[in-house]
Amino acid sequence: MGDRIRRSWLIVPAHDDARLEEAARAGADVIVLDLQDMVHDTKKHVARARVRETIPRLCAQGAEVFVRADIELLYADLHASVWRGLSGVMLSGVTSVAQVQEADSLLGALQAERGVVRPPPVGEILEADDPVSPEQALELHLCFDTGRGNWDAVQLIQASTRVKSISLGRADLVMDLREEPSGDLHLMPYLMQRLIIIANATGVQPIGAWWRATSRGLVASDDDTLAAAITGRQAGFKGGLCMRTHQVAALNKGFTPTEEEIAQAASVLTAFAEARANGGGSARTDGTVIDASRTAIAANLIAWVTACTKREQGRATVVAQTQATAQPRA
Amino acid sequence: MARRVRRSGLTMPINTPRFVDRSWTRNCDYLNFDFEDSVPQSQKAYARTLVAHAIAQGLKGGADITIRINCAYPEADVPAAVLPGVIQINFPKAETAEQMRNLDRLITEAERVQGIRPGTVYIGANIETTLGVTNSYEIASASPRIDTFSGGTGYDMSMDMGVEMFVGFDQFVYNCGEGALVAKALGLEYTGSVYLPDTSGNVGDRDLTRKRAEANRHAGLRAGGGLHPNTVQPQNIGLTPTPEEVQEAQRILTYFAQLDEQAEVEGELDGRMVDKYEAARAAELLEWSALCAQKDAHKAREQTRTTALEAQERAQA
Repeated sequence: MGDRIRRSWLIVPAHDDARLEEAARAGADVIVLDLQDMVHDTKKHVARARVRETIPRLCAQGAEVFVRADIELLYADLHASVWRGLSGVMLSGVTSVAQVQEADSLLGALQAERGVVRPPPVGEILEADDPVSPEQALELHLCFDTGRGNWDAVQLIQASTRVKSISLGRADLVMDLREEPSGDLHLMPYLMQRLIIIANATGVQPIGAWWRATSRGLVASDDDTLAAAITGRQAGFKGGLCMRTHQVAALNKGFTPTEEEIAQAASVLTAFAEARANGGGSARTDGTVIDASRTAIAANLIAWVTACTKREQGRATVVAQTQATAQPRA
Repeated sequence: MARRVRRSGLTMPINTPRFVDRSWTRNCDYLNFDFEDSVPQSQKAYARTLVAHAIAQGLKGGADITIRINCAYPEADVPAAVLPGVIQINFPKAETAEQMRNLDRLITEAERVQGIRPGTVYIGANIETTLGVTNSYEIASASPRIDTFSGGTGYDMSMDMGVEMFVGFDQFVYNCGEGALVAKALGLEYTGSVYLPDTSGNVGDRDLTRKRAEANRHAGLRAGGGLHPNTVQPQNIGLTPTPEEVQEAQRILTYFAQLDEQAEVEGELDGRMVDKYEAARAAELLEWSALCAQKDAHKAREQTRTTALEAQERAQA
């Protein structure tokens, strides 16, 4: 069934009604209800209490919903979060296999107890309803924002089959990485490339964008976000995290191939098919060689674009259904 | 272990009196007296007899004293190097964890013999070979005496990689990334440097040193060192926060305390986002600034005392 399209992950404090309202209509592929950094300790209980009613409201706008839990407050955060409509849980500050296993078993227990399953791709119909099926297991997204987490990334990913995606989270802030004369954040190019390699080696989605020091990562301007998304996609990321509604469009755009790239990929496929039909193993056009691997890259791009289009259709379907239910015919 | 200030430091052959005897006048945060590459093989044994004198010279200026030993025969070097007043043994071309464990044992024994409180002497593990880079984690975690770590750059590293050192681009991205990540994974202080293009290889370039030190300060890096006296002041100045930065950090902390009182986690101060991470960064800067001031005061006191003593001696002579 392949990776789900999650180009934009918008993180919103779970207790902030105004920002939630705005986020719901932002067109984010994923909305992450935050119970961690963006919620003051004195407001944690209020935020937790909102999660159950908020999830369906966000799903109704065609978003997938995750919750970002506080690793120190895992039990309470997960009990507040595992309700119908939730796709998974984001864990930041993960440093040990035991933490991942604890999250895994809590999710398993809560899914079984409450009969909660991971929803199907947005706009599709759920055919089975089985909390213990691997397809319907709630996911974990691990943020490797500490040195320890990054160093042990492979073991942490392999600690649970629920881990489907990883990111550096706010490594720039948690690890206090600051600006280099080159404009990159100190250590980030190394960490980003390392993360992408590990993600592909372990079969999970690498999430992130090529943030530079001039933009403050998760709260950057539209232009900076678009640039970070485009470079991020070129580097191998599949989608990026953000904290401001206005960044969503830039992430969705940057992580979707351009018309030009699509046309280019299509011409590669055509040229290779022609070469094959004529008994050749590769084609040459405009001085470039089109062989099987280049063709496979083009085919991947077309598959990704097709999935992006399907994701947008799914969103449109869900939004239309929501509007139809909200305004029943007289 | 307390956080150390080592913005500037000179590595010099311990057997060259004109360097060693003037070392205290250089205003270094630390001095690294060398047994290794700068000392010819024929002088190695003699070099081991010079440590007490070198320590006395260096301490006159308030510097921390470190000794760089040879990786090939720590058994001979360590007992000679670990004397009262030495704060760190630098181990060049570190390649395995076993070397670090052996060094730790030798230092422990030397501390016992010399009556130095156990655990006083740190280990500086210098990664200068490709094997060292691949074993970074094992090396850095092999002894609690290692409190700082960084990746492999420098002449020996270039030689081992078979590349030129001053080519104008960063050939050491992987080495340094690995070293920094290992340091962060183990909670050690990372002492590396940001990259600035340098095609001259001039070790006494004041301007480039100052620029690099300032870039390091902005990137949150705190340590320096060099081979030429021209590098000392540019690093002392370049790695010390400016009064404006200190003031700004105080404002951020005050503002964040107000946010926290209102049960908010983030806010904007003059168009800039402030949250607990910015606050932590500001607190670090204030701590660092205070440590630099302490170190500067200590060096000034020692240097004034030495100058007065020497004047007195001249007068009596």
